[in-house]
Amino acid sequence: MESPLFINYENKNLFGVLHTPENTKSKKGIIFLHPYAEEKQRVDRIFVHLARQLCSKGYSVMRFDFHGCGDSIGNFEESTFDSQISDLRTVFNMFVIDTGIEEVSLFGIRLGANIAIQYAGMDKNIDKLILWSPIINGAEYAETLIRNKLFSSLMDKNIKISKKQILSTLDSEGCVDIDGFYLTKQHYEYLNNMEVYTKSLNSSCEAFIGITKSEASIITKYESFAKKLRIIGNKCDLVLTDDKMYWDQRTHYEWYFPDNLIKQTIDWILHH
Amino acid sequence: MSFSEEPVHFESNGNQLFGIFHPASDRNKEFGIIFANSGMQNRVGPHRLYITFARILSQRGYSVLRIDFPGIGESEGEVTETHFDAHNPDHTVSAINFMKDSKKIRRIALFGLCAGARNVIKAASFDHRVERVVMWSLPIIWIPPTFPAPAPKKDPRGWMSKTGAILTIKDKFQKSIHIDAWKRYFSSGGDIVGIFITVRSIFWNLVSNQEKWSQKRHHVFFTAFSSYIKSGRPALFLYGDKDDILIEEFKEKSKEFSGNTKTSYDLIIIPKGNHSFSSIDTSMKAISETIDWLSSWSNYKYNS
Repeated sequence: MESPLFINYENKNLFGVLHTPENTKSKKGIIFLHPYAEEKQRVDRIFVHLARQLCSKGYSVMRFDFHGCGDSIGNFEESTFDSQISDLRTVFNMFVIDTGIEEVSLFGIRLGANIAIQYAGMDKNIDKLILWSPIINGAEYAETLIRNKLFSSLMDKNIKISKKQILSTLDSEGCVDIDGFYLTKQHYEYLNNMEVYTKSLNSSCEAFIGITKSEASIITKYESFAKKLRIIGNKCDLVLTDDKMYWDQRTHYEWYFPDNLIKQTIDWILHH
Repeated sequence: MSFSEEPVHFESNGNQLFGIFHPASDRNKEFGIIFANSGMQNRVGPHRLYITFARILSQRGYSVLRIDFPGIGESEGEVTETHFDAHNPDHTVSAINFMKDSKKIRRIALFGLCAGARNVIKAASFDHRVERVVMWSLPIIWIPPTFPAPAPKKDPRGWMSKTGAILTIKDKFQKSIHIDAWKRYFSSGGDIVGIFITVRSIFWNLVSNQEKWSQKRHHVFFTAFSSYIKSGRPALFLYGDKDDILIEEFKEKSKEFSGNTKTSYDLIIIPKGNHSFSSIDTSMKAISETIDWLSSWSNYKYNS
């Protein structure tokens, strides 16, 4: 059963969908965490598809939109790392209370995966982490956002803008419009200082890291991340599939699903 | 102010479709606007455009229903085709039924961006309960940059109009004389084969429009387009000025109505706007212009 709902807390209304399996004996649940800005739109149906598959195998699933994202109330620029952690804590508590779930795992894509890692470092109740293409280097990701803005301006014959000008606007006005989403100075600084790794992760928390061939060139960075998790006692599997970059605009319009990654992820969840 | 947006389901051709209903903030049930998906994007729209627009309309006294077609967002079903006529306008009609029957909304308008614009004018052409239609970035033939062009074998008669092809040749020629454009092309993964395919496909599109318009899905669209415009019901065509090929194709197509006094359509062009109005300034300008255009609705009496 799928129940779309608005979760009200602290005058926020977060949109979510709760998937409840027919077999209610299962005490396992997974919370899905979406990626940043327009990447969220591009993976939306992958989330729906995966949630339905997991639900059919007995897992309760909660998908939700952070404040200022998707159907949730608020403006995108109001969403911060702290507000996202707070949103997740609220959803986590509601999920556990409403469903009677005893084992909660987090599944995140891209920046959603990073939120999952950070949250698991704060809440020892997280059972497993399923991480698709976490952002290994926040500064590089922030740089990519600025490059996107530069690229958009290159398409315009009449506007010439430099990286220096973009950063100057970010500094003086506190935010800059990147393809319809305001990147705030606070979020830019957060990304620049973001650490994917957290020492405080509970050692009993197992992790699955799934990446695609588009990231094969930086696999050593993912291997290094997985190694760090293993050093503090976390079981961690790193899987590289031959899927395409599913969060890209072109693959979205091809209606592309990373079928191998989906299959390997479900297999891993079922066997752990 | 209390939060009143509501997740809803309604049945359409055997599928449960999903939507978010925004009641008018003053709770009037006079005016309702249905938002159709812009292609493969869910009810949130590109860069949350549909959310922003729906919430502003709700504050201005319009109820809004943002829907997901089958296979999109939360709706049941599968997407089997990815061109801009992939979604059946019958689903929009099902949404109209839901607005009328379940939400008791008396007067209906439709809104769509890109593929959504194609869908809503087709639905409005045969459902005369629709009083007006708002179409942003309506593609006539040209495949917008956000959609992949079909392989030549699948769609041998081309994917843009003759006008579009001529404009594209001019644009590509201008770019080709700049060394920076070539650097960008090759640094983003482009190669010689890609250039050959692009040039071949553009020249292929110089064949006559008449031949393309005879393609079934274009034929259905043009029949609906003419039928709606000739009905005299108001239509707003809104484009960003960077979407110059779409604008030219629209102007060419609209010539056939130049002598018809019954038509009631408006063309608004948003300066600096691109296909999906992906800068906040241009999207807010597009919203503001559309709300101004809708303000005459309360004075309009549709006489079928």
